[in-house]
Amino acid sequence: MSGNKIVSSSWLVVRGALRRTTNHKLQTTNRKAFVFSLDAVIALVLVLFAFTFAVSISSTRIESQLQNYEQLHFMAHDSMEVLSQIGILDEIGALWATGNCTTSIDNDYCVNAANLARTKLAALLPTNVNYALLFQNDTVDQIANAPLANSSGVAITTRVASGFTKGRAQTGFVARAYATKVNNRTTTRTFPVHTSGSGWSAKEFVLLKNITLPNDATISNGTLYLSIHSGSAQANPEFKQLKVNGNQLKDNVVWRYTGFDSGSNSRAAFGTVDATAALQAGNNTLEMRVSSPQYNAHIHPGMYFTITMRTNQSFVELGNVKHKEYLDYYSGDNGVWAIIPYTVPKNATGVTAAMHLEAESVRNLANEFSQYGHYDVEVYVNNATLFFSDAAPNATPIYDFNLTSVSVTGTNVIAIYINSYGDTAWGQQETIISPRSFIEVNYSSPIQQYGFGEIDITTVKEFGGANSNPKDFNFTIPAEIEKLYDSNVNLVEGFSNQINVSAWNQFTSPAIAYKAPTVRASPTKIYVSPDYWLINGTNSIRLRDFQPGGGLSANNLILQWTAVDYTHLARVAVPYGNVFDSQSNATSDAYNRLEQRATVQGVNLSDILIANETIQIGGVPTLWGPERFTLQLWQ
Amino acid sequence: MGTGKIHASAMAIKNTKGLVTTMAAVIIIVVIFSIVAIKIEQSREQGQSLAYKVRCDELSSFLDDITRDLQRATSITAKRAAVYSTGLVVHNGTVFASADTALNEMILNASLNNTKVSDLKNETLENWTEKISTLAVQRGFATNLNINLFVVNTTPVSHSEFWARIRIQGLSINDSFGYCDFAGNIPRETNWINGNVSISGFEDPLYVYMAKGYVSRTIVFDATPVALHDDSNVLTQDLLNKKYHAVYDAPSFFERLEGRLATGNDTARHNYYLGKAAQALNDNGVLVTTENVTIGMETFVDVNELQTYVPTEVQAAMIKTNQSVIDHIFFGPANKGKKVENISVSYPWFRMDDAHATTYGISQSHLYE
Repeated sequence: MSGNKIVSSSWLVVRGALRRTTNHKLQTTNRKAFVFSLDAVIALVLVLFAFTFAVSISSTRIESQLQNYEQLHFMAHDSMEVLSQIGILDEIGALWATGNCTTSIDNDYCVNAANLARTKLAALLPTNVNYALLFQNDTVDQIANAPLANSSGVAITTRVASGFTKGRAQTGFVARAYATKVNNRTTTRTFPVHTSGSGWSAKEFVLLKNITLPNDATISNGTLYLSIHSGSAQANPEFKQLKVNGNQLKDNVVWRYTGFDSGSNSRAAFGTVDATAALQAGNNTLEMRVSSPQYNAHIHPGMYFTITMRTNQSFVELGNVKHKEYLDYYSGDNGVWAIIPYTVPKNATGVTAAMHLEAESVRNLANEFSQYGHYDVEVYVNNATLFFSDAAPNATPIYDFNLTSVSVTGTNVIAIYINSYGDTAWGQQETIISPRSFIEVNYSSPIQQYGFGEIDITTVKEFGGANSNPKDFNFTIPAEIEKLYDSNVNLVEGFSNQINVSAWNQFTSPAIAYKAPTVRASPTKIYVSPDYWLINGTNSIRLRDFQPGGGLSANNLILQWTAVDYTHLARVAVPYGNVFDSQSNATSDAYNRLEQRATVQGVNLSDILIANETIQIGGVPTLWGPERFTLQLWQ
Repeated sequence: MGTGKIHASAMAIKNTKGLVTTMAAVIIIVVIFSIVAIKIEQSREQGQSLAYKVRCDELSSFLDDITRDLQRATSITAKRAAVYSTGLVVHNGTVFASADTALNEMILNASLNNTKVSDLKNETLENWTEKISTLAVQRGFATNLNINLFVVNTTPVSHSEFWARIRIQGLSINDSFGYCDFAGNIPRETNWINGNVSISGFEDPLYVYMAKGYVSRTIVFDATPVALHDDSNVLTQDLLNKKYHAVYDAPSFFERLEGRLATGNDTARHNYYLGKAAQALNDNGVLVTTENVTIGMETFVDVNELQTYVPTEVQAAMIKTNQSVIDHIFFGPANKGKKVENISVSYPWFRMDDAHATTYGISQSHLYE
């Protein structure tokens, strides 16, 4: 209809124009003419209305498009707001990130994320609206009935969300680990058998040693290191007895070194015997009987028990130490002597030391000093001159000595001689140092207590190499070691006289760490102040055994089994590590780090029980992102 | 002549008519074109108005987005800071002088006492701020957002949860087209955004600290109401499962990070955190006083565990006689307690002080020396 109207209007316009031509001729001929005739005006009006109508149509279409876009925009915005408010975006993000998705069909996580998006968006949006939900640049889900490129309007809205990243779980685990050997800790302890002796002229020297192990101890290894001077050139006929808890082990000894002294027709010997099966928790006894036909039988430096056990009990002496050590039973026929060491650590304060000495079957020999140059009872403390003597003892003398004023920092040595007149006269009967005797040393240690979670760790380094005198040994202490608080040389000798220990490190000169105060006063365990040692550097020890005349003896060999030990307090622990998606990975990482930490501290984790193993915290988020969720709507 | 006059007159009439017609045509043209011009102007304004509307809506949406994500980011950074703090205490045995201050610093700057903490690198609001600023630019907004605008205030709000309360002060965001801008604080409707962190599953720093690092205990809360423990089976299960209980006078997680027991000299500190908790809850529309908000938690000490794992040299200063097994009492100076019927037979060291027996609903008649 409107098309027909436009056609008839055009016809009127033509007719009006013809009329205007005629009129114009009239004007030209008569007077000035006018511009529009009525017909022309009518035609013009019609044309203008048509134009206005076209403009209006066009304008309405633009307005409609704007309204459409506005509608899409708010629809997108509101939908995204709903997804965000009810936590669906978080769920979709978590699934998409955990599944490391690129498309919605990569794996179950991706499928679930897409389904979740589909369920919610389909409910929120009208069916004639197309959409695409994107996580970063990945399309999580879309409904595209019409291609986006041909759309008449597109609305895009975005949300940011922290804590997601593709390929990682939204939360993870951190773990730490620590070791404690307190619970049934495996510990190796040495129980020295002090240098002692006197069984002259084929009569016996008897040692009875009590070793008290914790009642809860489970013994995994017990090795007795023997270092004795006895017998003759033959196969030790005078090595008569070696019993551990009544079990005869003398034929089980593996002799590793022997040295013959033709002058006394005796020999020094070093050997080992496995006593594991014979040992038990609680009280243990070691009984040894030796003699020497033409000399005195005795124990050399280097005789000790090494026992590895699991126990709750600690052997560490820290803080206000009250160290009380009972002497072994020493019986010599004739005469008896013993070298009893005790240690005062460097920087110890408030040191007091005392000895309670009881003896039995002591003979009061008249005029012994004038005859032999010795008293019936002699006690030396850190010196070659007498600390105490008794020329007229009763048969069972009891002595109490205050040793505080004569004690020195480091290794102290008490030498006890009863009815023992050296090589000159040998006494005439059995003499006994009673195991009721004891040494008591009290002090306040430089390290007062364990630090937070610390355990004590002892590292033993055997010298190895050839037996020699002097004997040098170099060793390093790892950089990770802290709180070094104890160190000793565990001396093993063939023949022995007067030991001298020098210690130094790469930045210091050799210094005397210990010097036996007199002959045959070389203890098995010699304290060497940890101050001599350099952590993360080279440390050196030189052992020399001097003859009475001052020269080194080629026969007094320091054996390869001599060792140095150092004890430090350490926290074998690692803090929380990185965040892992799985608990097992976090705990494995913690344990591996702990193992590395322990190794450098000289600890084999298989030797100690890990309390609670590893501790982990779950649900630990990471501030990834923020990532972008984008919702595109189009029609 | 006459004819000529008539003709002339007719011509004059005809000329006047043409003039009128012409004038009418001009008027019509003017009116029509005016209508068209108005219509075009209307369309242009409508488009511009929509652009304003959309951009302002986008700005508002962006602000909402920041607000919502800031809460999430704050929760994340606060939890990471809490994990790190716990790790410091349980691994090094180092407690905090002020846990809330330390957490605030860690959340904002990944530093502790002005020293950067590598574990928290990339886990701080500073990183978040940089990323959000970049996103703002991508969305056509210019902003002054930077970490100096942030205020953080951490506080316990219950026995099991703490809030990292945060706001952005003096934020300005301008639309690059000049349609809209924003100047003010985030959040817009309230004073604070609360990033909440649950401490369930964390190691208890106080327990590990007091046990000198030899034992650990994870915070797991008991579902049974505290006052309903006058049952030896319930108590035994709590003891065996190492459960935690919400108790008013017990130390909160923050105090535990500080190695404080909430009693004796530490009472003032407990009150300080109670005050902060009450304030935070009130700000959030939960009307409470310090008397009716519980931020503390406690657990039963397993003395046998201590005796097993702690070196004997260390136990002497830790395990006394007749101690109440309530952890903050056990590790404190006034620590005596009485045996509890049907439990102390199996666990001879299990004792409870009178006050806590009341808290747990245990009848005094069930206590004995």
